[in-house]
Amino acid sequence: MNYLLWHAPAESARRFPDRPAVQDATTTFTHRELHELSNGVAGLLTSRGLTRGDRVGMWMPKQARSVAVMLGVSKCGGIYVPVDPQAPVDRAAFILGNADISVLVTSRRLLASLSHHLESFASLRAVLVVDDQGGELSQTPVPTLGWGSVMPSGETPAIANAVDSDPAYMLYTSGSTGTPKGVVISHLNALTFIEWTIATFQIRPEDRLSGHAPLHFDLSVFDIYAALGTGACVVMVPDRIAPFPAEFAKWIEEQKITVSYMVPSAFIRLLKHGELERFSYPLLRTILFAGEVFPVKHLREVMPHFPQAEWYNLYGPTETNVCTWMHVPKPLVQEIELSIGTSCENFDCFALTSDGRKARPGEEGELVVRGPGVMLGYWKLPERTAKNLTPNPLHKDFTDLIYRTGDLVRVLEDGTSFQYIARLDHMVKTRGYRVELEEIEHVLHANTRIRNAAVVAIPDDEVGARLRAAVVVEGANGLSQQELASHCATKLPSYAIPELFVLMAELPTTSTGKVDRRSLAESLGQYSAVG
Amino acid sequence: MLRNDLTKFIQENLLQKDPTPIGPEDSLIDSGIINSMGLIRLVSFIETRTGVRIPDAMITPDNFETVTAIERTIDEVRHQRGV
Repeated sequence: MNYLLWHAPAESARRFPDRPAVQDATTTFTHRELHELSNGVAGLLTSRGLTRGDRVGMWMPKQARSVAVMLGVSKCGGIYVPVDPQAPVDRAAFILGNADISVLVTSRRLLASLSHHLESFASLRAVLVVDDQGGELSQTPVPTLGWGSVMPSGETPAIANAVDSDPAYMLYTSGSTGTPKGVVISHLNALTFIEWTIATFQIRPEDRLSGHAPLHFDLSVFDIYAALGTGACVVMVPDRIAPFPAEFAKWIEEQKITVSYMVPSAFIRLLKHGELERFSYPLLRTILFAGEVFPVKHLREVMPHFPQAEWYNLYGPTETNVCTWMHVPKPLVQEIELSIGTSCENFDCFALTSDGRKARPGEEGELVVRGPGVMLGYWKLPERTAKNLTPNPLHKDFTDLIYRTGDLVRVLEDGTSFQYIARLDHMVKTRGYRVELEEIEHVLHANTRIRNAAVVAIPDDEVGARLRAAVVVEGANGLSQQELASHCATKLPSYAIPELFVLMAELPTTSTGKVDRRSLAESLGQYSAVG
Repeated sequence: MLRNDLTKFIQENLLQKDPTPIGPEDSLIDSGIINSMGLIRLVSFIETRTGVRIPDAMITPDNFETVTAIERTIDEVRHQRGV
């Protein structure tokens, strides 16, 4: 039976032992090698006392070994917690501490930057350093091991009573209180999505999937597990290439990528700066995008560069992974309003009106999701979980939970597809990442020289939303753009740093005394685009 | 001086977690200093600071490997344009 995340990859190791499974800039593992290596990781973790339900933090550059770690953690019943390797150290330390990790997997450089925090992780029992070939490296402050401690093995350690509703991994997203929150995803949640993608996009052993998204972003769940579950190969875009659009376009051609899943802003960068016409992509057959709205004008322009490809718009928050999809028509006409499509198989999506009934065609409502793909909850946040996972008002006679996405949609005339309208609260998407404006404001407010601050999102075709801040500074001496950006950079990931800070004497307010966000958005929207 | 301005910009805007100073020959890419967002900011800074627009085909890892490589790239574009 395949009911845990590592089961299908283990089956691929039997059926396609010598086919490549994962490739990075320097290393390729076959399915058998990956299986045996991840058994080694599982054996090492088990020997260090990791038991079912323990968390393993992964703060490391994305590489082939990352996949062995993910599978290895799953094989011993642990929960892996990937953290953005580009995150500021305070943010990473917060996440690792919040997850109460037992083991940290990291690189030498990142470990050095985290050294002051290690002792604050009360449950930490061991550190595994992926880019050190040594064995036991040190004993203080916690036992630190090199990758040389991982002994590949044909045997998978047995764990008793593992079930598919056990958590498999946690992904941290922005939180409204100013701190990130962990979305707990079970094996069943993840497999519901993965199995749907394999069947729908007919992933085959010959496929080469590009691994573009970072591991803390759930687009990577598709790249990795759809490949491993079918005998295909996930080809990780090297960090050296990913930021450079023209280099990346050449890489897609050279690496014979057949399936690619990225955020629209990555495609738009390729279109605007990748010189796509210099290369050809006859093998790229399936292109998936998700994470933000893809403006039709850019999509129309980019599609002809990949004439063999079918394009699909996928939609879903981290809490459900993908839950709706649509096949983009070819040719795409300008007048079309791109919808988020219909429910994926084994997902039930519908819209609830503000008075709690199911929206009919033409009506608007909050999109809600039910089914086995919906997360278990937010880590250590029962109240927040109860707010978002609520009883289904349509099924009052038995326990049935729905996830409230907070996204406002309109039901289309077919009664089954949806048009995305807006976030119901202040969460916005910028460059494919979810950002809560309050979180950025919280960081600005933490600076003693800042009296007041408000962040607004200016809708933008290219990046989804441009973040701009209005800031009121204490005293006569202002703060420079760079000082403000540097301050944000100590606490926030780069995509959440406002591109522009406008100093104001006071923030405009509404009649009730609240910050007038609408008028701020209008005035800050008048500055021309940056970057 | 352009080299100092570039170093200062990178130091103040792209270095998030690592306060160690960067030298003209330090790799900006392998160390993760230049990511997608960082590259956009850096290119836009160069255009504002020097008035030189770097063609897309020249925005490559080799040309942005180090502060020295970036300086050389800007010179090359200037030379091609005869400015």
